Amino acid sequence: MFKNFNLGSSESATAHWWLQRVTAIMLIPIACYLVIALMSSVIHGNNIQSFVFSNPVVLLLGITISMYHAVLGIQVIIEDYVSCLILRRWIILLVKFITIVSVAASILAIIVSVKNNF
Amino acid sequence: MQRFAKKLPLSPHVQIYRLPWVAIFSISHRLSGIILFFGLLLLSWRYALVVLQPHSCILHTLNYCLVSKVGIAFFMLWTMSFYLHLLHGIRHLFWDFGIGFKLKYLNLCNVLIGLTIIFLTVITWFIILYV
Repeated sequence: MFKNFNLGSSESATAHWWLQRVTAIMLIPIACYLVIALMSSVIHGNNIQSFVFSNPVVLLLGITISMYHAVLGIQVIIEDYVSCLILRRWIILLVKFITIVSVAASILAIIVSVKNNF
Repeated sequence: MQRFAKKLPLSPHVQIYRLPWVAIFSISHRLSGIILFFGLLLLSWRYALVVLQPHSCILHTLNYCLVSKVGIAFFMLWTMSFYLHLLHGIRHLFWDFGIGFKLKYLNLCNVLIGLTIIFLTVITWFIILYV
């Protein structure tokens, strides 16, 4: 039982499953908003005014929750398709690292944009 | 440490099977998840750059790439993946409660989801490009 103890997902599998579902339900409305906000900014140019629909609170929630949901999902995919356990661990670690850095950058940007508005 | 997962007997190769539509949706669900992840990374970094470094060279290059033909094609794929992931994800939630496993419902849902994805993608890009 303890032989493969720390080789799989880092938390318990049940919590993983539940968090995936809970974030999925939360994301149904938020992700629609997020896609509209981010896509419209790409179409309308490259200044901050192009983020017409970007309520900072919803943007923060959207990016954080969807990144978390993405990490949970990609972890499952990697565990299914990468059979070498050491490589599997490193890839999951890499994905988590990239995600955390991206979320941190987005949160910093949101805070700065709120501060600039006042 | 054990380097590889335990040697288990393998099932026949994927080409042997004629995949049912549900299986095709299932694998596209995973694929679309990965595409959505990359798109989200790209757009969240773009947002951070727009706020923090609005006049940087990298942002101009990025914008130039995003509105090029390849960029637009990627975003078409991205929105399509989004609709697929959204609709099939909602079906997954129903499946978790044990609803919708009858073959009749499965086939109906496949057609419904497929048509809705195409419809929504076309509508979205019609609005973006022509309105």
